[in-house]
Amino acid sequence: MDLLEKGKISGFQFFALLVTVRLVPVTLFCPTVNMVTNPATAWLNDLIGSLLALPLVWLLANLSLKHPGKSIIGYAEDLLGPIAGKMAGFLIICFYFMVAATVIRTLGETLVTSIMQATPLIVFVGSAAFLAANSARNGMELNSRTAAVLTPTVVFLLISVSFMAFGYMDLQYLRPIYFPDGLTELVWPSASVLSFYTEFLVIGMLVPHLNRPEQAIPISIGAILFSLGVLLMYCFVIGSVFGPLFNSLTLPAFRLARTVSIGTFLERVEPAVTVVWIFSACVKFSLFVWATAVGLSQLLGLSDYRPMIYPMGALIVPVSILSYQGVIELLDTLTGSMIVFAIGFLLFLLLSLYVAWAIRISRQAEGGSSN
Amino acid sequence: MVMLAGIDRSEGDLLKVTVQVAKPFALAHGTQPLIDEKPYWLTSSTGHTFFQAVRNLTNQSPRRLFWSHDKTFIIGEDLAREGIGDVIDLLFRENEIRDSLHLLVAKGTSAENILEANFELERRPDLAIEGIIKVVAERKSTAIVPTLLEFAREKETDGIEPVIGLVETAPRPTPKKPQYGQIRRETVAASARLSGIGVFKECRLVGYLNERQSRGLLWVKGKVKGGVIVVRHPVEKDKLVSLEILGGTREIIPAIVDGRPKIRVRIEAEANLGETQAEAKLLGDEAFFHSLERRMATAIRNEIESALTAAQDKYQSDVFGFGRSFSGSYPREWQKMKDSWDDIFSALEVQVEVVARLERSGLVLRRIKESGS
Repeated sequence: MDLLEKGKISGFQFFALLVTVRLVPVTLFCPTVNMVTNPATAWLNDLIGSLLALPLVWLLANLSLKHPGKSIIGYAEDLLGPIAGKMAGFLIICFYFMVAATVIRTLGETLVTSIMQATPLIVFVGSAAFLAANSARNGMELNSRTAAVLTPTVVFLLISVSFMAFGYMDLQYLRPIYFPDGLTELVWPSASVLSFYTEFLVIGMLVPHLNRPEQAIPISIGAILFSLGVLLMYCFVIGSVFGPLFNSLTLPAFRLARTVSIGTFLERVEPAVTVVWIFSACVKFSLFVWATAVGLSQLLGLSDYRPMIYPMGALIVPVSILSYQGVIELLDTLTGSMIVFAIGFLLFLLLSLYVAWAIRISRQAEGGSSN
Repeated sequence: MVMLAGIDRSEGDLLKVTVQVAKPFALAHGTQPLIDEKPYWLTSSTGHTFFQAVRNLTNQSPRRLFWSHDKTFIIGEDLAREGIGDVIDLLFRENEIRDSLHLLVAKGTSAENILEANFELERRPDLAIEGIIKVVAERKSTAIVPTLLEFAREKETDGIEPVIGLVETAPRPTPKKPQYGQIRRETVAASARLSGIGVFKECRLVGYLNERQSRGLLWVKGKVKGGVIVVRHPVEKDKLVSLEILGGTREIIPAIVDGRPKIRVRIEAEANLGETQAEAKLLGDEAFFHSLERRMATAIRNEIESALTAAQDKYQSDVFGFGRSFSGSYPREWQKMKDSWDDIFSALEVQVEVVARLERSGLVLRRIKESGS
């Protein structure tokens, strides 16, 4: 199965895409924060979750490197055989599809919750989906270049908002690092942090397009560490500004931007955060729509993925709207079943691929055949 | 545009929201002539909940009320004594309200009365109140006016109770006949002034700190930025010396000695000599200088101890946040103390150390003599 997309992306573009993928759940809803009780220990969850993500992402990127020129859909079929491979490919595509639907719904919900309460959700979801689908239709290069430009902007805005928060911080809220109910309270929030890293499954689609695929592992790891840095920064800032209230906020990053000011001349900078949302959510959505369309075309043996994009986008919009009833249900899903599902799915997938690979290698060794 | 708002307990179960809404045509300044009209419209409405009362304002307002420009929110005493949890919930939840909203409690009166006050220097009461808050914080340090965010997070923090600054009406007699030089006779009714701090417990107002106690609290919170301390003259005991506070730092050191919690508060304060009623020889008289410093330290300690007595004995409310410093330094022990903290706090041993330093003496080094001898 050949690659349908001929585009090539640079290492930095790859990095920017991955960071954007991870930053969206930090800057829009930050569901992890809602699960933590003590602002002083919240950062530990980010640390543990991110560190646990390292081996998983390494395993994922490693698979892609061992199958040069093939996307995860392609080598899953090679490894697992035609039927199981197709099924695995289909599940992966469903995963991409759900991520895309969740992202676009999250964007819509945040905009409706925060600034334009009277606007119907479909306006945001529909228009953002249309724009992002256009970008996806023009190939991955376009989206990657957009990400390379926008991600530094996004990170810059996030850092500036954090700096502006200095005057509002009460550092006493960062003490003590103590667990009255034992370390078990770290488990779920850390799992939640980890669950968002499962979206790095998209690496499987991106690695074959890298200029220099051998960079895939260091860049993925760099992206995790960089995201961890941003996560930690936000965790400290939000924890010290909001203290015990920090797990009560629907939109922590937005609330932070609304609160902070420099003197009396620069205040209410939440449009900056809104810019961050729209940029990063659209890039992420576009990436996953592209991944879904390309994956599905490969799976079905189509010669071009482009005709798939618009129908796919059109399908995602109603799915995203019908999947969740409202913010509460969306957050409930993200902090509950989604964690188990995402981590379980990734582990199961990796396990089956590696087992299949090990069997294949041992068979080759027995047969002594050269392939 | 809502410029200033307040809430009171009304008859029965009703809540009464009072707002000052900007009148754009009366606010005009610059080249346009000043319209002789109040720049705001004072209106109020009632409802079973805060939100309902706010929405009921709609019945009277031809324009949609927009709350983002409201910088101060006044809570009537009756409601504050009942508890303001519901008020804080809406304010913190609502999209248009800023987190930097200042909270005040109307002492001995209703918020509505405060909103009816007029100020000589500002046409807009919201600017007047904001101005007073700022000036008092910088130059007198006898009030803490928390923002919505500060109040909400302290309310939820273990080991510290929130406080809110008090505002009261300042009655002023209206002159009977027009005075010479007065172009137009004005009747300025009651005005408003800041006065001390209201002590809360959970969400309920339990009592007041007077101005002296308020500054005692501010010393411990490390928020003193200015103000005047009056001490007796070290030599001529019937004369007074005024010292101008320049600022201070504080350190709260919790300790557990023999299983009993103890707190050590260390304050370092700096001041200028502001005024003296008797000769103050500063050059070459170290003893005099140190004596003044000691007197200042004692005065500060008295302020703090007065606040401590009020908080520990009268209100049993840890407004100083001593519990919080235990939870930071002794998390394990804090878990055990947390539930009975109010009792522990009222019996807590607090050791106050004050180091006072005099820095400058204004533009002169000695007092101008009364008789040319």
